[in-house]
Amino acid sequence: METWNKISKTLSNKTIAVIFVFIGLLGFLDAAYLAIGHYRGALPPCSIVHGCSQVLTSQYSTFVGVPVALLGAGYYLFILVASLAYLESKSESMLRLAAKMTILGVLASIYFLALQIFVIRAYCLYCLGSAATATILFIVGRFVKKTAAP
Amino acid sequence: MNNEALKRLGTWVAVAVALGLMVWGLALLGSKPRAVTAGGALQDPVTASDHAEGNTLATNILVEYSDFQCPACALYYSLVKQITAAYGGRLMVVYRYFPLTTIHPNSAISARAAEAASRQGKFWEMHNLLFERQKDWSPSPDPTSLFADYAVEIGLNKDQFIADLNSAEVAARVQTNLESGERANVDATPAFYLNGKKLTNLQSYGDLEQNIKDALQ
Repeated sequence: METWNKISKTLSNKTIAVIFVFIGLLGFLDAAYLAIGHYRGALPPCSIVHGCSQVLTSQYSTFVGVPVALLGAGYYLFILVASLAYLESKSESMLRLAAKMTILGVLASIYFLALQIFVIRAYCLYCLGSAATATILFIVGRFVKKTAAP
Repeated sequence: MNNEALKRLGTWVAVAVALGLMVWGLALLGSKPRAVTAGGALQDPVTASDHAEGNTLATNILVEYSDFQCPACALYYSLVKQITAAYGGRLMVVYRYFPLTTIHPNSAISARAAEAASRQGKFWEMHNLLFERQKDWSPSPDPTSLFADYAVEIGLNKDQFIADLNSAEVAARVQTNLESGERANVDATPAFYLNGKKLTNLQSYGDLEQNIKDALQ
C-alpha cells in the first residue's frame, strides 16, 4: 500500500497522460500494422518459427466481419486522442474516460491471450505486444487522480 | 476565429497529419517485396509413387509441400486447383506431405488420412475434402471418426480405411515425404518447387501463375 501511495504521488495526471500518449501510439501503430496486413490479403505461409499466420488467419481474427486488429487500432487511437485532448485542454474528464476505457483493453487482451494459449495454440508476437501495451495502459490508468476543480 | 482557437486547430491538424503519415509509412513498409521463405532446391525427384495430377508426362513439374491443417495451405488449395485447371495439360502438379506437427496437432493424422485414401485410389478426393472442410476437423481433439465419414462419402471401404490410417506403412510414407521436404529446405507451408527450384516470393495467386506461365513459355 505504501509503494502504491509513493507511485501515486510521483505519477501526476499530466505524467499519466504523456505515458498514455506514447503507449497509445505504440499500440495504435502495432494494431494498424496488423490491420493493414489483413486488408492487403497477403497469404502468410504457415511457419514453424512464427505462429502469426496461424493466429491472424484464424476464425477469431475477425469480429462480426471486422478484423480485431482494426478494432484494436480504433481503441488505441481513442486513448491517444483523449489523452492529447486532456493535455491540450486540461479537461480532466477526458483523461478519466481514457483511464476507464483501459479496462476494456485489458479484458480484450486477456481474451485474446487465452485464445492463443488454449484454442489456437499459436502465438503472434504483434498480438503479444498489444497485450503488453494494453496492460501498461490499464495499470497506469489506475493512478489517475481526481483533483479538486480549479 | 481568435488566435487561441487557431492554435488549437493547428495542434489537432498536426496530430492528424502525423498519424496519417505514420500509417502511410507502415503501409509502405508492409508492401516492400521480400522473400517470404528461404530459397532451396528439390532434392528428391518426382517418381511414379508421388501423388500427381494434371499431365503426368509433362516436363514442367510443380511440387507442393503442404499441410492439410495449415490455413495458408487451404487458401492455396483453391489457387492450385485453378492452376491445374488452366495449365494441367502441360503441367504436372505433385502433392507432398509436410505436416507441421509442432503447431498443428491434427496435421499428421490428416496426412495419413489422405495416404490411406490413396491406398484405395482416392487420394485427390480425400485431399480436396480435407482442405474444403479444414475448419470442421481442425479443432477436433480426435478427427478419426470425421475422416471415416469422409472416406465413406467418397466411396471408400471404411474398415480398410481405418486399418490403413493406423498402419505403419502409411505413417512411414508420410514421414518419407516430410524428410524429403526437410532436405529441400521447406521452412513454411505451402512450399512450391517449379522444375526443382523453390519459389520464394509468392504473395498472391498472380505470382504463382506468373512463375508457371514463364516456365511454360
